[in-house]
Amino acid sequence: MEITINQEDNLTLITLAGRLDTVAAVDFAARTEALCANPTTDITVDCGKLEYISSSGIRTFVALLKGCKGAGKTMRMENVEESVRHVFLLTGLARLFNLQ
Amino acid sequence: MEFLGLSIYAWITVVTVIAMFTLLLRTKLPVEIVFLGGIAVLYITGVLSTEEALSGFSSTSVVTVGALFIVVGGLEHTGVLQWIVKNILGTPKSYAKAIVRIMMPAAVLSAFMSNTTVVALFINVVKKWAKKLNFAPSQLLMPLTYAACMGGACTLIGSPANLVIANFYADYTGEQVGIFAPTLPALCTLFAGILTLVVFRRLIPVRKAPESSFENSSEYTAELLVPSDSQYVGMTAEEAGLYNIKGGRLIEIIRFDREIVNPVGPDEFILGGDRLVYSGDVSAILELKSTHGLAAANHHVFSLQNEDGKRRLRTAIVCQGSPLIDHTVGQTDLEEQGGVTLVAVARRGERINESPRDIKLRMGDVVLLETPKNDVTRTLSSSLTFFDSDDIPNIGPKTLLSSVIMLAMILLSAFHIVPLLQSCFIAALAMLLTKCLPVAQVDKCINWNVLMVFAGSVSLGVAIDKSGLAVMIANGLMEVCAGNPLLVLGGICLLGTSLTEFISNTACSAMLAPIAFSSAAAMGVNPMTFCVALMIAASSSFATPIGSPTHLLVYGPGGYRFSDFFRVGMLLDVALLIVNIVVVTIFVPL
Repeated sequence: MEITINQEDNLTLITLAGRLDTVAAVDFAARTEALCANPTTDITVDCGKLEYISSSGIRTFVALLKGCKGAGKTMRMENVEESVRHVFLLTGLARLFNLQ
Repeated sequence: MEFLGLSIYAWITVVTVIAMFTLLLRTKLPVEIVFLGGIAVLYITGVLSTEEALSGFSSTSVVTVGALFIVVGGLEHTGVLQWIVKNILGTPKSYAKAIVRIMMPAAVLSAFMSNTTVVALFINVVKKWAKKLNFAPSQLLMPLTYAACMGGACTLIGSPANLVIANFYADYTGEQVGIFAPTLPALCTLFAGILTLVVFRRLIPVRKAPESSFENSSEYTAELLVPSDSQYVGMTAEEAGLYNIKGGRLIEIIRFDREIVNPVGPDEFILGGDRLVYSGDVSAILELKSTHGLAAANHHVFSLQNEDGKRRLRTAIVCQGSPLIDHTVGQTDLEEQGGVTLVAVARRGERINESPRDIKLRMGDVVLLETPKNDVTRTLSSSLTFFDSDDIPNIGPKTLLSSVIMLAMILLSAFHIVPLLQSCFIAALAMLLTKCLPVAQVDKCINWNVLMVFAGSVSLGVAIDKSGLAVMIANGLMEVCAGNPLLVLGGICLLGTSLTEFISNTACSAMLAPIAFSSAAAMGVNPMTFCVALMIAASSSFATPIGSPTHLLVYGPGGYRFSDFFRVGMLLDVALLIVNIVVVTIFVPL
């Protein structure tokens, strides 16, 4: 699992590649902890190479979204593959992330 | 051709009986399948002729039991039994008096109808009664099931085993057995039994009952599903009002990918497809279905199908031989088959602090199910025994009418105006004609499995008799007892009491009746003594919870352990064996 976080002036770009399973989700949660608590920019997550997402991974997505909303920032997901989109539909989060 | 003094047919019978015993004790095969299989083997190998193999199905005793199912069904439908059960218990001032108060009516009712019906009817009432009197249900449920067994021996129609023995007696002697033939000696053993329990009442265990936990439901867990379109998706458990609820708390979340969150913090996010496991008051937890749009967790749903008002909660016990044993509910087709949902599980009064759907069920576990309004009791009868009856009793003029029909049936037979079978048929017909039992309910009342086992037992008895096995065992017994009829009688009763601890009393009677009557004939003594003593012995199974279906009915609700029955039951077995031999030889001399 590769997690890349690039912070620019007004945008933080998170690129995910591989399988975001339970183990990888722990790392993902640790690396985004500060972002969740106090995001200073809008966030975009590029999911183009994300093959799988576990419930723990989703949990971090929700934490990021809540952090952004709390700080008046936005969060977007890009290039979402069908299998990942299906998980967001199943968990009812698709509408919160505008994936419908 | 003979080997060790036994014909090849006798050996086939011995091997078949041993195989049947092993299957009954070691496997979960349904009893009726084991019996019918045994009869098939005996028929195919030529031990039984076509006529003999089928003799069980046309046996007077089997047909009588079939007709009695309808008569008792009428009594139940018109509320006679429920009325008696509710109005008879009173408020005794001591534990000893409570034992007598519960045992007497249970025994009297069991004398005229299936003891399983009687115990099933009493269970809920006794539980409430125990609470009122400040006793543990276990203190009164054990006397209840023991009384039902003892009462069953009091008349010919009290137990199918008695009818089997009477059937063999009629075959041997050409004389019919009267409906009250075993009554006096059986009443004496009943009194001896009640006295023993009262004197040794401290041996009756005090156990916390799982059923009481349903009333004070803090001991239960229930599982609910978050639909994908729930408005609470994405909120924390606390924000959604799903963390601390009235009467319970969230103890575990099972995610859509089976990941388990335990313990659950108030900041845990709620996702669609989550299974929320709560512990607490089951009815309060289930209120979340209407307040929060959660669903019963039997399958994943994308939108909520609100079925409230069409469903209700019922408690049931995992019965002996149930296919649920050693499986989680998801590994079986229970929920699809009955349209039910497992809500909670209790074992010996203790909460199982896991998701109910992940619990491997055991015999005697009490399960709380959400069921459809229509009857699921029959559909699920091989897996579960339900505590409460589906039928709402209709107390009214028919309550009296059905009582009169039952009474007339007993009197017609007792005074030899018509034979027992005819009087049962007349009563069954009268129940139907007067609509005390609606025709549509007849199939529900007849327990076909019991009839199959019963028919199989009769044919098995015929094989034991015909193959020469009965005479051989009878001769062996007489040799050991030096031809003393009293010792032979004692030996047969001891054998009967021991066997019936492990197999049904009907099967035990079918095996021992031919031996008993062969012994009596060989010694030239009164076969009626053997007949009555065996009836009482076959109903004396007190030392194991599998000794009688009624024990198993109270096993879960009483919160008993296997050894509980042994402690009190062995004492009763021995006491009643001695009293049985003494009183039978007094009332029906050898």
